[in-house]
Amino acid sequence: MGEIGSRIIQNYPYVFALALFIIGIYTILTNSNLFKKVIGINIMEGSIYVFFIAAGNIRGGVAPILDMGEPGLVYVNPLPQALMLTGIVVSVSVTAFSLALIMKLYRFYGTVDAREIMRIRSEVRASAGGN
Amino acid sequence: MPVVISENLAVLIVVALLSAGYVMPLLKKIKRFRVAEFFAVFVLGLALSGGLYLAREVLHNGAFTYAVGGWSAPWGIELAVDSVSGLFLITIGLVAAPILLWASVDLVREVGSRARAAWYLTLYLLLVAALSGLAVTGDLFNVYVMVEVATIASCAIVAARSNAVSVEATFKYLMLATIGSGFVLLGIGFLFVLTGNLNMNFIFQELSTSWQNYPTALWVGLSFFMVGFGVKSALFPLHVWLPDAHSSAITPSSAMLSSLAVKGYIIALLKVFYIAVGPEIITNLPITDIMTLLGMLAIVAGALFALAQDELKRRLAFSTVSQVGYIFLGIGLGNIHGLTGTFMHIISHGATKALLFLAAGAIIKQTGKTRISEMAGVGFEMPVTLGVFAVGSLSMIGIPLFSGFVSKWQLLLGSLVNRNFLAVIVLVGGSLLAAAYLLPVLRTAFFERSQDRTVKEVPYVQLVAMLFLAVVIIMVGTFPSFVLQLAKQAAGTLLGLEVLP
Repeated sequence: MGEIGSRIIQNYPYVFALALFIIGIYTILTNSNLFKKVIGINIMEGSIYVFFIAAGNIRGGVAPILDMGEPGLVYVNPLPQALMLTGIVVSVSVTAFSLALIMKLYRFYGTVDAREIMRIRSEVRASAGGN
Repeated sequence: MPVVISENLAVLIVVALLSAGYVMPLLKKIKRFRVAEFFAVFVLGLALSGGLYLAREVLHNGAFTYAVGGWSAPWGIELAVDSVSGLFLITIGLVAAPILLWASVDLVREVGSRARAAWYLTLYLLLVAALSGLAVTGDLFNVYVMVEVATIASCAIVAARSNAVSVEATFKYLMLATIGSGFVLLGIGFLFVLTGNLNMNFIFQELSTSWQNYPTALWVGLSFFMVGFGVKSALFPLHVWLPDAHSSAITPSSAMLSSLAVKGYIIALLKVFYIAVGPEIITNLPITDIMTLLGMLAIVAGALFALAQDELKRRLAFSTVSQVGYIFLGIGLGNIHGLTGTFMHIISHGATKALLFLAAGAIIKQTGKTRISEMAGVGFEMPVTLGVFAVGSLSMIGIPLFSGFVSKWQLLLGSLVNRNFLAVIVLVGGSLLAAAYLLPVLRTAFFERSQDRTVKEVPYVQLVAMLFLAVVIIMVGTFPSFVLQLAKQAAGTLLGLEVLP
């Protein structure tokens, strides 16, 4: 195992986040199904939530509510959690927006496959150029 | 100006634009919709005067920070108003107001219905508000929020005319822009892990003492920023979404996106790199070399792609790819002249590209022709439109007395100071290529005979909007002292140098 191995085990949330991030990007870039692209976006953003929450977390820490009674408590930094709440809101709206766009694309082209849409478009362009 | 307003102006500009945006859908019921449109233009004019006031303040009294809600930095959100913000706020006001004035003539017909037009105004003002927010923010949390608002708003105004081509372009843009946001957010995560702060000044203080302990992590984080903002501002190999999105959108959207939206992300990038991380670290890492290289590639490749297009709006869209290259080249040069050139090019290209897109939109609307080869003789029917198109082209090429010359001169000085002669060649060659892809339009329009003599000039409101932008270009080109001083001070702020007023 060695030093690097034990470091990876110590920081497993980051490794997990990195793996998720790569899976998400890979899904967006390689899948031609538009719905799967949207799912990829969500996986990618999920990985960033994991990254931030792991970064802000302290083992044994409590929520940062000021409690004068117990002095020795360790508080978790609320900043990354607030940022991630914003991130979740953003990703929900991006998802909603892209699903609405997919709906329109389906109405125009009758398919949700990016490759198929490209094919239809190039056929339309070729026939328009021929006239 | 009352003290309450002048003291809180930095936040009031953003708040006024946001609230005006949300009022717009309520105004669709009033009898004359033009009133709503002129109200939106009026709000943009207010934002411009606010920006001018802030710029003057900063120029005379120096940069200041503003604690939102009275909560100071570690707890509250801080706005940092410096010459960078002043300059970008002026650019936004000068460009966004005439575009909307131009759009007001037939917005309802372009987007389909009154309700859609009202929502379009909402999205437009939201985008302007987000860009102004990026100009004044001093906090990475705010950067993220504003970047996201700007992204969704700019995607949505591409889809304003909902036809197959523009919806597909929007989807492509949205996917790539969201990947870009993901990278930016991860970059923010890296800076947060390294420093425990999201406030740019605190990050700067933390990093300046401790960055040598983990240069690799910093390098990785900055690359995430580079890729994320690079996708969003269409830096050359990452520009694939831009031509489709900018050419298939309605004209005001294309003008807005090409002239302002991409610049907003560049301002954010500059703030993260130079204010949060600091010039010393940036110049120690190879990141400026990469930016110089990509900038030069973008100038040449964008211009070559533009040459190959026959559709006027597509040619202008690829020209944006090329001009963004100039801006990144200036950042990459990393000296005071290069960065001054970057800021001058942000304002100059903002006005120029908006003018060119509006003139192109006017030609396309009046003649119904989208291809340059079909535009024979339009110059005789629409002399004013083609006249301002000529002003825009000359400024884009970089002829003296037009604003493009001032920015390219500074970029040339910057490359000479760095002894980067390849950059000098690319800058001059880029100007020649710009002449090669813009002047044929004028030649076709003025020196070829047209068959059809029924084409009329556009309504006078649109002429006023375009003439305003042309006057801005010529004024910045002939009397650059105020803007140039502001740009120099902005460059000095980023580099941590004192620039005497």
